[in-house]
Amino acid sequence: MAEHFVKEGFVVHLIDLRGSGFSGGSHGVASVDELHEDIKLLLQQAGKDLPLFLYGHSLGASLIASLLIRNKWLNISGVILTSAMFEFAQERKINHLKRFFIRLFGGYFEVCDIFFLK
Amino acid sequence: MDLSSTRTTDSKCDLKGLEEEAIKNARNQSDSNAYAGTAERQRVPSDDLSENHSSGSAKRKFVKVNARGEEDLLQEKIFENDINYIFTKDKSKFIGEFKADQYKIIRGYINGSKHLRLYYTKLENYHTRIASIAIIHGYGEHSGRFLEVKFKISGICTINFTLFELRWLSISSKRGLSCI
Repeated sequence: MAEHFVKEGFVVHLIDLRGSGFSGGSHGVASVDELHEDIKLLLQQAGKDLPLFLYGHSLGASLIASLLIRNKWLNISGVILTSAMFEFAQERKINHLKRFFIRLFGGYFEVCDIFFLK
Repeated sequence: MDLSSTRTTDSKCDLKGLEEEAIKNARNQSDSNAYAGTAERQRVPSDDLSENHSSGSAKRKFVKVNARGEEDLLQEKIFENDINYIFTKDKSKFIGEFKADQYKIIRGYINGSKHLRLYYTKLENYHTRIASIAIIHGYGEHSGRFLEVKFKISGICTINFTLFELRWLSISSKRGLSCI
């Protein structure tokens, strides 16, 4: 994806958030505000002469959404969000029996994966 | 961004040149470290401990294993021009500025807050500069995942990237997301 964008003529900036990849910090501990600071660091690397687009995937997408809601006047020309976990799918195709059991015991198995019940 | 301790490659080098370099360096590293013989070495108890302490990486706790149970030492090459393959093959290309035929890649660390350093890569075209894109990865991922995702997708179907403006993100609307 990055190589595709570069060949089109974009300047691509990539970062490893804290706790993942080659960056420092422990994994899965960071709060939303700390991750916002990392995104702000990335935005400082981009030059002011070019229009800036933000691309986010899953957690990154929801982070970008929350960052833009909190800071309205950021000078950003566009946003791309993929699978941003805003809500669950409406039609999940679960039987009535399974739905009944999920309602009964779902509270006990919150950590358990939904594919186990399929 | 600190690029003081960086190594730069030759300006005439393209991606294939980088790949050949990486394979050469990987062979030299494998000769010096001798990763391949670790499984046989662990069975022999009367091995010299002094050598293991000196090299450090010769005696490893965890060994990466295939689905068949074989030792997975060789990185598989998935795409034709695979950037991740080059960088994982050659450990000396961790930080620096590398030049391909159409663009250049800069990898390095940014100094974050509270003495935390974040890994940063930048891809820049030589001739045209339309706009800049900042890519942010998801939970349990890293930035190397977004280098060649497009190639894998484009074999199955063609995808047009569309840029759109969400209504509730724009300045004029009053409604916002309450869940985040």
